[in-house]
Amino acid sequence: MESWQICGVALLCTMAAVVMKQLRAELALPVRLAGSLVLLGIIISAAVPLFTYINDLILRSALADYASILLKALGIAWLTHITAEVCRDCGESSAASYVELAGKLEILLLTFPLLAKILDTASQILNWQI
Amino acid sequence: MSRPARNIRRLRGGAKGSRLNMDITLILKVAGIGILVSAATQILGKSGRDEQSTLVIISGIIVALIMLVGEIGSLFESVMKVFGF
Repeated sequence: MESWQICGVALLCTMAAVVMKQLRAELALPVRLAGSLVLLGIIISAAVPLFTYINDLILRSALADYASILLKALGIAWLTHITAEVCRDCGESSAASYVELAGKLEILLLTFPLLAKILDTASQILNWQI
Repeated sequence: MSRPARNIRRLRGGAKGSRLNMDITLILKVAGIGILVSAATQILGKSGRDEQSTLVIISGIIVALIMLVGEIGSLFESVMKVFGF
């Protein structure tokens, strides 16, 4: 994917949103949403081979069990950040903070089994040393 | 709309099997709806029909959101597929 194409699309979206803000402020939200959807679509269609490659590499290394957790956490962080930015663009910073808080809690919930595994391993090591 | 013009506007990229149906005409369609609605509300306001201009604004927002909802759904689907949800 050409980076200049992405820049052009982003500039077009920005100009359309600025024009709509001047004419009718409430109609600027669909324009912003459409722009972020198109940009996200381009980015994801370019990022799919990268993520499948990283997934294959991680599955072949020693971190094979944790590959899905890592990728899920990355996806949650990315998605909530972008949604919060769209909310803040429209002036709803409270909705943005709630979205980010929900994302943080979800990532924490995702890593609870890892925490249990770490504590089990630590207690086993302590038993050996005794 | 001729075939070559549509192909130029469609942005290609990514591996085979990835979604390519997101093209920039979505932005232009939504902006076009917005400009149409603002022109209509100004005309209606000048001729004294304020409640009809409010209805036109609301219907414009609804039409734009209906256009976007399908794209949002398919985008989230592909995001979940990429990150292995």
